[in-house]
Amino acid sequence: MSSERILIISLGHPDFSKGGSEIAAYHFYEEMNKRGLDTYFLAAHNYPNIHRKENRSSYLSEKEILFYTQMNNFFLFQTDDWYAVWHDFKNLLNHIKPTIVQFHHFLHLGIEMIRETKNYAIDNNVDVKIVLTFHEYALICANNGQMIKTGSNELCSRYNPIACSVCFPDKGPADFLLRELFFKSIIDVVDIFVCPSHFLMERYINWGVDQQKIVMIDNGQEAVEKLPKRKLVDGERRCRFTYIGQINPFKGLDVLLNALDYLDENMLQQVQIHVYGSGLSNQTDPYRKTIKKLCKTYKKNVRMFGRYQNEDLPEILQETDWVVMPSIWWENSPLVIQESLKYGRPLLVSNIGGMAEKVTDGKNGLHFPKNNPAALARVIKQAMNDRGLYDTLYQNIETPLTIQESTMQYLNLYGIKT
Amino acid sequence: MIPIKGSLDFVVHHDQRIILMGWLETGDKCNQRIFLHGAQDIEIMPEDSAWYFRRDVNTSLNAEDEIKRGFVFAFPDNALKNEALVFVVGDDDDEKQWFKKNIDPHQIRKIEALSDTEADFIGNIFQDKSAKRHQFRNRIEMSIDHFFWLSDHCFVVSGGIDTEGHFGKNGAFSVIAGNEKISPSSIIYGEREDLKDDSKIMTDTDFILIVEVGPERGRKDLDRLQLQVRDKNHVGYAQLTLKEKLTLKEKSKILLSHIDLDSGKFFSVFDGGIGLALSALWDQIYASDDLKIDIKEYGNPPADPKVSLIVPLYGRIDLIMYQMSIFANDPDFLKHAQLIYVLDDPRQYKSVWEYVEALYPVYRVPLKLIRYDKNLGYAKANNIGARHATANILILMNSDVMPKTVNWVSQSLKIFEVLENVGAAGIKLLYEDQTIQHQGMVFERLPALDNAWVNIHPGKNMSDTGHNKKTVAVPAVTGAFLMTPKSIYDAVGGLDEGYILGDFEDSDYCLKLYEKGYLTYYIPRIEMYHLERQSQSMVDTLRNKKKITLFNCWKHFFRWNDTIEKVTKEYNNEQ
Repeated sequence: MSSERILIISLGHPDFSKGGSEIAAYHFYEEMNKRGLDTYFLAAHNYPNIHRKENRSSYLSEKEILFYTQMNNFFLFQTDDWYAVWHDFKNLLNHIKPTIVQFHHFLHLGIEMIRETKNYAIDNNVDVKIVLTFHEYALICANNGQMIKTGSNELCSRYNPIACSVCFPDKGPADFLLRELFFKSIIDVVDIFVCPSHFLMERYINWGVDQQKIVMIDNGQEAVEKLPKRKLVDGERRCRFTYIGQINPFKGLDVLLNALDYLDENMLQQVQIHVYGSGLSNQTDPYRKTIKKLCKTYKKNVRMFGRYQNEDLPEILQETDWVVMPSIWWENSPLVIQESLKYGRPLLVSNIGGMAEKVTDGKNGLHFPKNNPAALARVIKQAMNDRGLYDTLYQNIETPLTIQESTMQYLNLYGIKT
Repeated sequence: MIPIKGSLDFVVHHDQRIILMGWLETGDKCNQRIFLHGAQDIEIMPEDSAWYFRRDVNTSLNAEDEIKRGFVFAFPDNALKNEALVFVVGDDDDEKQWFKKNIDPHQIRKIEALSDTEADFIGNIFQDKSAKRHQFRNRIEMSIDHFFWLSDHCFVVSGGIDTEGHFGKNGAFSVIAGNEKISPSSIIYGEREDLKDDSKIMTDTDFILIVEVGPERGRKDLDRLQLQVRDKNHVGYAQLTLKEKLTLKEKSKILLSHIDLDSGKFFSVFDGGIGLALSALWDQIYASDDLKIDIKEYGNPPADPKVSLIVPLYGRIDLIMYQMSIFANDPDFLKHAQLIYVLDDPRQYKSVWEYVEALYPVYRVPLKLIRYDKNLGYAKANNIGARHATANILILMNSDVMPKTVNWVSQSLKIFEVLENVGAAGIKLLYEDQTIQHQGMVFERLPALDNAWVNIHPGKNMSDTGHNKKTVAVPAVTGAFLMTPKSIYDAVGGLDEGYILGDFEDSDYCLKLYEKGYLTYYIPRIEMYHLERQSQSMVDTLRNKKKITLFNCWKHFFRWNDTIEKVTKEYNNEQ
């Protein structure tokens, strides 16, 4: 049995925050422990009521630690009380004594934790492998790591300090160069970088991460049986389209609803759009109004189901023919795609970034030009009219990488033989 | 010795003047002082006087000469309240012989209140040809904006004269201190920038005076002063009272406000006295005799460092974090460099320490933090840093300069150490967009600036096409990154501390070295970013900053004109 001790660090615990990176990080923790590896899980939280003044750590179980931080500088990913954070984190490292520290993020934690990990290794004269998995373009782009332009929401394809300060008029090019130099100096101590998609990996290589130090490992999914195709009643077509995920302008729900404008009466008689996901109430007034107005116009076609639980997913997808992902930003390795494929549902996705990478046009789904409702309408028409197409795509769907497989790839990276 | 005889016949208050008439027989005393002595120990001198021949006086004195013994004196009334006065005529020798006459306030009469007989009497006097010739000057309004001492023997007065279009810029100013009249050493007329847009005061002529009272005279007994301005036909008065407590920097701002950036005549204004006044002020601002220096050391620096980096801090102290984070990844730096930060910003005296305390445990770049509770300017900060440097080579570095690669310490030393006759060297500095910020400096004459020599960064903000990696001699290099042997730095007294804030010290230093026979080089092989101007937040307004730059330029120009000509010629011949 390996003598390594693994510390997996996440920006949140999936019990409280269901983001893709939190879920992925926790899966790895569970799977590694299952394999008898000595693995700890550390998740940031910002609930002041559960943190004791003298110590930032609270324990959900012996090896699941919640670590209290308040991040206030999202530009540099630094916490409010950086010194205390580093200090307590250092104590925690001295206590756990990990040999592998796997960062799944630095958001909410403070990016200096990476350097502090190196300091721990130097102070104790031990080898500690530091691995950093990127989950979006956070180091490259200050606009929530999404690589889209502020204001216009146009896609952005490369970092440039001059262009960045056009997106953020209160900052100058120097601020962005400093940000870049700072991040690069911090991640200089990282041994290996992991990206869950080739697309993300290319972006980081272009930004300046050493090609020799970066690999692609996708997040794994639970191994489940494909769901059977939805049973159609007589004459019914594959007309159930489901949107799953947060509702915000970057996710493009408005693109999907606007596509209905381009469908004829005959199509509108049948097409059903089910929306699962929350977040609409947090959006700006104009965006909320747009969505609400579209829902009202197409009240026969659109149903909003609100928040959903992960365990409800099989049921939701059983009643679904197609899953639609109309994001107008690049995405990375979206959980929605993996889950849809896992349960055997073909997808309609924007033809960019991580979506285009994970869904192959004509194989396990269909592409449409991003942010283009008319084009999406054509694809919807095709999806409903071409009866043979659905069966082919359904057949073609391969089981996505499992958690076990993904974990194996990570362990391989860590140099742990199993 | 015969006492002065005389008579005071009338005291009339008219047109802001107290007019005294009478006669005086002063005998052989030719140095009399004539003044009114007020209740508050004020001595007021006449602004106008006329002497005329009085037959009645001659008769009573049995004199047969033609001496004019009748007088009319006009004293300004603005320093006086309704108070008892003494009219005094005398010389310095013997107070017993003075002519003194008490004037009761009730005695002072209005012209219109005179009796017919009295009016006739005055009329008679004024019929005299010599008296008739005399016209009083017209009063003009003068206001004082600022009055402050620059030093113990020099003060500044600024204000405006309401000229109503009649009064030119030829008036004679004098400061009346008791019985003394002091002429200003500089008079600068001009439009003040801050008042320019105010149409109501367009008739004003603004002025600033610098008055030198001399070190022996000093400031003593000079707290009650009166300013007089006069030309042939006008006269104006204003009291000078110290009311505002101005900081040195506020005083500097007032001096700078008299430089009109749009006029293009800056240098004549500096020449006219403002330049020296600014120098004197900033010498005081930068005075550091009683400086308390606090030094904190972090970590274990190399015992025998090859270079000492001196990084002055002003404004953005957060730049320390970026530099440390980058230095931390460079083992060559940690092995060979001594890092010295010098805080030149009293506002951050405490916070910089807290900041470094928090940073050090994570970034662990050994450093020396030098703090003092003053702002002494760029040159002094570097000179203080240099005193605490132990390596043989100094690198003056700005806090917004960021290395692009590791190993630059050894690489630059390797090049530097074999340079012939080297005094100083600079490197290639780039902006955020990889364009040139610095590749050596040259001097050019600027026609818009009275043809003065200014520092030019050739190729600035242009893309870096220079594939030539050869180190070359240049007229000067920027102080943003300047390597120099400590022995030479010490021998020439480091950077000149006479420039304000931080400008021109670098070229001044290179020119100083040139005079001593050393060369300045540009090393293109070493590249760093220079996020220009991130390291200093503006002192106040951008315009004031520009004026300070002009001052520095003026100073630099006059000191180095000839040397620059020589250096530039040599450089151009080699090109």
